[in-house]
Amino acid sequence: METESKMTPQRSLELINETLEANRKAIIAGSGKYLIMWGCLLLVFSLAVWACWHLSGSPVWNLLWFAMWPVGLLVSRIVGKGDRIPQNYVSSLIGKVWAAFGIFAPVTAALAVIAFPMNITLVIILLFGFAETVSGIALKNWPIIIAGAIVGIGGACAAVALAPGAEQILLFTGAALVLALTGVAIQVRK
Amino acid sequence: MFDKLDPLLHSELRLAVMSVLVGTDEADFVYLRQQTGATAGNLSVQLDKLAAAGYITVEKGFQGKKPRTTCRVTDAGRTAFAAYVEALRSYIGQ
Repeated sequence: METESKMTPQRSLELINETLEANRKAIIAGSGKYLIMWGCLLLVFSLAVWACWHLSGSPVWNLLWFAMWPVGLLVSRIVGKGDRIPQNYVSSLIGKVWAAFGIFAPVTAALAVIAFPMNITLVIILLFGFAETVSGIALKNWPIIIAGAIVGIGGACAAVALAPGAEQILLFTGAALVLALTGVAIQVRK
Repeated sequence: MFDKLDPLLHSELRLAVMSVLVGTDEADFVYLRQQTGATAGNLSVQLDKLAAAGYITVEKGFQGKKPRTTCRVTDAGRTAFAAYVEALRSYIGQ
C-alpha cells in the first residue's frame, strides 16, 4: 500500500469502505472460532450428562452442567491466546449477550431445581436459540440467525413434545452441532 | 466550494489504519499490518505520524512474554476522520 499518493476522493471513499468491510469480516471470522469451541464443549457435556443419566437413571447428573461454564471460560482463554482479532462494538455486544445467557441459564436451572419446577430444557434451549439469533443479527450473518431460530423455536417445541427424561438432553446435543457447524460455516466463508 | 482534505488522512496507509481503528475498540500492530498489507517499517512510521497529531494512541506492552503494540483512535482522531469523510462527500456530491 502506498504511503503518499494523489488519491481521488472516490478512491479514498472506496478505501474506507473496503477497509471497514475487511475489518468486519475479520471480526466475524474470529467469532466463528468461539462458536466451534462452545459447540464442541456443549456437545461433550450434553453427551456426558445424557449417558450418565441414561445409564444410572438419576437426573442428578444434570449437576455436571454447572461445570461447563468454568471449563468453557478456561478453554476460551486457551483458544484465544495470542488472538489478534480486535474487539468492536458488535463483538463486545455478542460477548455480553452470551454472558447474559451464561447467567440466566444456570440461575434459572438452579431455581427450577430448588423452588420453581418447570420444563428447564424448554427455557434454556429457547434462551440459547435467542442468544444465537441476536448474535447473528448483530453480525448481519444469516446462517447464524437461521440456526438460532431453528435451535430456539424447534428446540422449544421438541422439549414439549418429548417425554421428560434423559432423552431431552439430546436436544442440547443437536443445538451443539448447529452451533459448531455455524462456526465452521463462518470459518469456511472466511 | 470544496472542503479542504486533511493531508494527514489523505494518504492510503494512514487512511486505512484510521478506518480499521474507528471500527474497533483497539487493534494491535500485527493485526493492522495484516489488514493494511503494509510493511512493519512503513506502518510504524505512519503510526508515529498519527500519534504525533493526536489522532491515535500507541501503547507498548506485553501479551504473555511477547511484546505487543496496541493502537486506539482518540476523540480527536474520530472527529478528524468524520470531518475527512464529510469533506470527501462534498467532492463526490459536486
